[in-house]
Amino acid sequence: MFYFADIWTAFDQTVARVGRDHPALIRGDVTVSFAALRALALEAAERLRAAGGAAGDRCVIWSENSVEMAAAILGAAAAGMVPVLVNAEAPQSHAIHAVTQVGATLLLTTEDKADVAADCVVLGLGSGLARGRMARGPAQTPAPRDAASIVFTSGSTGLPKGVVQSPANLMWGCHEVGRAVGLRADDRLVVAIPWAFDYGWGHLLTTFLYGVPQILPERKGGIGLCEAIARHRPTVLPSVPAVMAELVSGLTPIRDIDASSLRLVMNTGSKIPAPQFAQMLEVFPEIAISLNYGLTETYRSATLPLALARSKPAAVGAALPGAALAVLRADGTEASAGEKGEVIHRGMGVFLGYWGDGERTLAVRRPDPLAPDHLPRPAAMFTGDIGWMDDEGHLHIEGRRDRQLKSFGTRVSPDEVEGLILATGLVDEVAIVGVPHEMVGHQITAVIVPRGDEKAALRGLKISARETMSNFMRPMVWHVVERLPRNPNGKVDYPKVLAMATALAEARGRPG
Amino acid sequence: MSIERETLVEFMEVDMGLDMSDIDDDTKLFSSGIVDSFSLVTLMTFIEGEAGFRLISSDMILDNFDSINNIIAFAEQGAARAAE
Repeated sequence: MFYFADIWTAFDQTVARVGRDHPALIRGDVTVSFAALRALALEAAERLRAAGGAAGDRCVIWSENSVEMAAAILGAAAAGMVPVLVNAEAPQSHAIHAVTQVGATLLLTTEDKADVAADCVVLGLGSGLARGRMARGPAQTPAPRDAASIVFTSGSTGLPKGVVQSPANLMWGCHEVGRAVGLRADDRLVVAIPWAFDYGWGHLLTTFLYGVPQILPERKGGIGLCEAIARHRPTVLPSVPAVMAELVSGLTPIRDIDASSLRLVMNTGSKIPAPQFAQMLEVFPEIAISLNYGLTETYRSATLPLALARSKPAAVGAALPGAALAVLRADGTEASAGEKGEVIHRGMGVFLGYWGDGERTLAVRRPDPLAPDHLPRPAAMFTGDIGWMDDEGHLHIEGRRDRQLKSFGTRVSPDEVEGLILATGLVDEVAIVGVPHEMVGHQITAVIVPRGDEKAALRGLKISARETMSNFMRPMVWHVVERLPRNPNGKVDYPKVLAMATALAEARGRPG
Repeated sequence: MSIERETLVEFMEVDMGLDMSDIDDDTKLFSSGIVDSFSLVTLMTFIEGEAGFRLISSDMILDNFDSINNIIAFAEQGAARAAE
């Protein structure tokens, strides 16, 4: 049976299955066995309860990947609480937004972030540090077994949204992904993706529920990844194009180390550009490649059979068993093979909603238009991605219906970035566009009309961006203009802004 | 064009958010972990714009970006290549 009652029970069964001494997490000199991780999680659960946390409460965990973070997530689950994951790189304002949005009673974070001004009890990860008092609000509504986790992600507009996933979806996705790529308990994952992103969270679940040991690099970036590969001999590397681009670019020692233990590399986030794909094959000639597509709202939508990665590198494959994908025409009917339209995800994987945001939930989680009549319609996820199916039923992704961007494999809402820039008072106008870039996907580019002195404004904007934005959403390039191009309705003409920014990017580094 | 040291230092301070009091001209930036891969791409974009040449795949060697001195030397070579 795959469907257990909740994440904690499922983890407990994993411990029994793989054995107490089986390694769960490995970082540097430290190896934490499944039994040790279980003990740390129970300690964490006790601390959460002692701090006033009760079943059904939301517990925000704001940290980089660490043994303490893994124990806190499991501890929250053991206490019947809902872990809410926020990336360590996210600015304080995002962590506070998460606390407010989900009505969290507890925030766990590392000591360097413990001065966060969140309206809840703040606990240090793994240590005794505690601040604040529990002010019990109204009775908590969610049954803990309905909501297994909340992961924050950007949409096309507004502030990040808390994606609620059910235990059934997480366990389904974890096991089906494992089956699709043939994961085994004697595999070893090396994970450089934050667990606070759905893709990283999925790999932590692979350790929790599938029993696959996980190696945590001691340092960030491609060099840290190489050190971890050389030292701990992993077999599986989950990646996004930006991580792979750096790893195989010559900027890391990957060609000089023994990376022969790797048997499988997984990609999601966006397509690997052809030059990087070729470099990857040159560095890892024999490796199996798993190409994927998914959203935080669907866990995993598509996976391409390993055998096809080299012949169809532009495709992302078909839905996992239990889910289905379809491409819809503008009139809502299903498109034929080769015909472009909006991709919808049906069946297993569809999220429960954005916590506390019914309006934006209903905009994307809608009755399945292809479900049979005569039965209540289940929900489908309208992804906003434009794609098409080929004759073999494999999906190809082409772009977006809206302005949403992908930088370093992560969704960015240009609307949110513009709002943060306008809030500085240093610009009269701003437009954010994504210029295609081989390494990062969309290079976030700000086109601004500064207020007052240009140099001072730019300096202030860049400093403010570091304080208010995660690194992947910060503009990498700033262009100053006298006014933004507008269409006859007076709205910013984004296609024109993008064309201008793209032309400037192409001219960069070219004489004349 | 080459890159002025002053311009580079200001870029590192303002755009990359580095505390320049800890960094001298030979401090290892990337191999030491001071700077992450996100900033590396920002730096590459800056070099292309300032030094006026396009990075090619053989330029993607850590050594070229790993210290202030290395960046300036690399930018000079690249600018000379572009002028040919």
